[in-house]
Amino acid sequence: MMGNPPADVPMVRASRLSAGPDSGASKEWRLDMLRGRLSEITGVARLSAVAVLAREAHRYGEGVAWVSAVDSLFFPPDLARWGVAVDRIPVVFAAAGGSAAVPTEGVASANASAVRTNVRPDMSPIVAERTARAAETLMRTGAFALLVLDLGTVRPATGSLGRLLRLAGIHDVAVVALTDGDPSLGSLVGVRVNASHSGPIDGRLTLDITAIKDKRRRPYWRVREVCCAPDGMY
Amino acid sequence: MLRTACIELPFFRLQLLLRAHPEWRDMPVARVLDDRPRAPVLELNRVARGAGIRAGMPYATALAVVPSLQAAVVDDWESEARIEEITELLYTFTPHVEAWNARSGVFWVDCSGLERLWGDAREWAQNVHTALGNRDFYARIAAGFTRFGTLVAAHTASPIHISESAGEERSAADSASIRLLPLEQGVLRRLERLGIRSIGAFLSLPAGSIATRFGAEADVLYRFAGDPGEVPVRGERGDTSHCREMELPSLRDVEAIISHLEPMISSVVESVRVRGVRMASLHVVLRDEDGDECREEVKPAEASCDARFFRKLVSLRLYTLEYRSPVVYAAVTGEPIAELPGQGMLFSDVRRITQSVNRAFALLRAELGNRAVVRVLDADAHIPEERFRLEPIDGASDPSLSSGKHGAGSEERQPGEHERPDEQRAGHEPPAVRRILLKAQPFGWVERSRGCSPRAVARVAKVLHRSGAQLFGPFRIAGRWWRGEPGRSYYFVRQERDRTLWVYRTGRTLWLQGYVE
Repeated sequence: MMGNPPADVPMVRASRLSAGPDSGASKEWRLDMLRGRLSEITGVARLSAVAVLAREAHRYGEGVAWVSAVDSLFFPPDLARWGVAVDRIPVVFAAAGGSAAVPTEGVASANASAVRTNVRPDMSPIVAERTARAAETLMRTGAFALLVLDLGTVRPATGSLGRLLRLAGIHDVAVVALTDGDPSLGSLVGVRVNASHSGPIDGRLTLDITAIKDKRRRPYWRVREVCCAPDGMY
Repeated sequence: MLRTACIELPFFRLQLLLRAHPEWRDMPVARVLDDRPRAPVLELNRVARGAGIRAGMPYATALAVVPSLQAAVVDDWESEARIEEITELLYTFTPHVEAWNARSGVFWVDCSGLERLWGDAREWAQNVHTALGNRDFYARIAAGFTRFGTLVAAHTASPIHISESAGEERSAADSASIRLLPLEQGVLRRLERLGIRSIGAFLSLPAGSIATRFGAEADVLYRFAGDPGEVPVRGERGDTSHCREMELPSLRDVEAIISHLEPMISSVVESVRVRGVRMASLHVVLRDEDGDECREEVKPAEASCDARFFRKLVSLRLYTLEYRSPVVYAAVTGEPIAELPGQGMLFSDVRRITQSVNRAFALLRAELGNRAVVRVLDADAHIPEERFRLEPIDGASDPSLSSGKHGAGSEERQPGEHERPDEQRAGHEPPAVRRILLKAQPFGWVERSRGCSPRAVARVAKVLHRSGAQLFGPFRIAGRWWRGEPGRSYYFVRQERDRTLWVYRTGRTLWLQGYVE
C-alpha cells in the first residue's frame, strides 16, 4: 500500500509547458531517467503522468508505442494538446482479439465507487501473456524509446517481466506500465510512482507524481505539474 | 471509345426461381425471404403483380389474395453458383468480368478492342444477349464509358443500349431516380424528405457529410456514382496456380494442422516465386466436419517470397483459433503482386528500422488479428467518441510511426490551422488526460426530467453521490440530431481516492464515457 510522503520531502516543481523548448518535467520524471528500466505508474492520474514522458519522447523525435490490455484508450485530443503526435503512436490491443473497435470484457457497475473496467478474470492470464509478447515484439525492433503498457488489473508473469526488463536494457527503452494499483508488478519494477490530481482551482488541476519506490535514488521525490481541467469541470 | 459494358439480369433471383420451375411461367410467382407464413414477399412476377400482390406483403396474406400463388426461397449458395456460371459464360466474350457484390445479377465487362472478333458494340451485345437467353436468362445490356453510367443505362433503357458519348451517359445518370441505388429504405426516405430524388441531386450533396449523415454504405455508393476517373474493369479469370488444397484426416490438434499446411505454403510460395513476382498475402481456408469454414488472411509487412516467414505468420494465426470440430479440409491461396524495382534508400538504418517495425506489426497482426494494431487519427466531429478513429495499420507502415516527428498532434501547428474552441481558454496548460471507453457503458438510470434544470442535476447527483462524490456539470452538447439522437449532458464525478468519472446523460440513462486520469 502506498503511504503519504513525509512532510520534509523536497518538492520539485516542474516547469510549465510554455516556458521553453527545454522545459518539461523534473529531472526525476524524465524519459532519460527511465530508459532501460521497468517503471510502474499507479494512481488516479496515470495517463497525465505518462503524457509528460510521451511529450518528451516526441519532442526529441523518439518513438512511442502503446500496448493496451484494457478496453479503453487515452482520449486522443487531450494527449495531442500535450504536444504528443498521437497519429504516430502505434496502438496494439492485446485484449481485443483482433477487433480493436469492439470493446471486450468490459464490466461496469452502477455503483460509482466500485466502477472498474476490467478484463474477465478467466481471460486475464491470456491477455497478460499476449500483452507481454506484443511488448517484446515491439521492443525487439529497437524503434521505440517509450513503451507504454496499459495493464489495468492485468498482471504479466514475472518471467515475462524479466524478459521485458532485459530487452529494455538492451534496446534502451523506457517500459512504463499503467496499473490499477495493488498488487504491484513486483520486485523487477525499478521505479513505482503514484500519480494523483488535486483541485480543480480556477479551472486547473494539479498533477502530483510521487515516487513510492526508486531503486536508484531516495524514494518519495515528488513532481508537480499544472494541468487545466477538462471542459465542464471548472 | 467505348470501354465498359454493364449486363444486368433484372429480378435475378426471381429468374432463378422461374428457371428452376419452368412450369410456373404463366402463373403468379413470388420469391419470399424464408419458409414461414409471415415471411415477406421480396420479388414477384407480372402475373402476381397484376393480381394485386405487392412486395413486402406477408406470404400468408399474398396467398389469401391469390390462392394459386407459387412461392419459394432462393438460397445464397444457389445465387452464387449461378453468378459463377454466368461469369464463366461472359469470359467467352471478354477477358475481364466483374460481378457487383452490392446487387446480385449485375456484371461489368471490358468491351474494348473486340471489334475484330465481334463486329461493333451492338453486335457484340446482341451475341451476349443471345448466349444468356439460350441459358434462360433475360438480360439488359448497356455499353458505355463508366460503370455507373452503364448501370443506369442498362436499368432504364431497352435490352441493348449503346451510349454515344460520355456526356450523354453522365446526364442520363444524373437525371435517373435515386431509387436506382441499392440504399436502405430508411436512407432513401430521408433523402426524399430532403427533396433529393435524382442521382444528380444526391451527388450535389457535400462529400464529407455523406458518411456521417447517411452511413458508410451510402458513402460508398456516393463515391461510386460520382467517380469521374474510375479504373477499367479488371476482373480476370481466377488463376489456380497459386492455390493448394488438401483433404485432412480429421485433425483437431493445431500442430498437426500446421504440419499439413507447411508443405502447401511452401509450394504456393515457390509457385509465386518462379513467376518472378512476390506474395502480398496468403489466404487459408479450413473446413471442419460440420461443414463450417474458417477463412483467414495473413499479410507480411511487405510482399515477400519468404516461405519460412509465411509459415510463421500462419502458425501464429492458427494458434489463436478455436477448433470446435475436427478439421477435414484445408486450402492455401497466395495473392501475388508484381515486384517493383528496388528503390535504394540513402539512409540504410532508417530502412532497417522501418523493415523491422513492419515485420513486428505483421507478427502482431498474425497473432492478435488484423485489426489489433491501429493508429489513432483525428476526426472532425463533436461527439467525444467520434473525435478520433482507429485505423488498422495494414501492410507496410509509414516510417514515421517509429518516430514522433511531424505528427498531427505535435506542438508545431500548421499555418492556418485553427484551434478548437476548448483550446482557447486562458492559460496554456495541457489538459488532464481523459481515458475514453471504446464503447460507452450504461451506468445507471435517473428519473425522467427535462433539460439541465437544477432539479435534473440534483437527480443525477442522487445517483452519483453515493460515496460523497463531488459533481461538476452539466456540460451540454448536441447529440447526432441527424440520427434522431437527443443531446447529452456531461458530468464529471470526482471521488475521494478514485478516478474522476466522466459520464453523460441522455434521457433517463446515464452512461460512463471514461475517466479523467
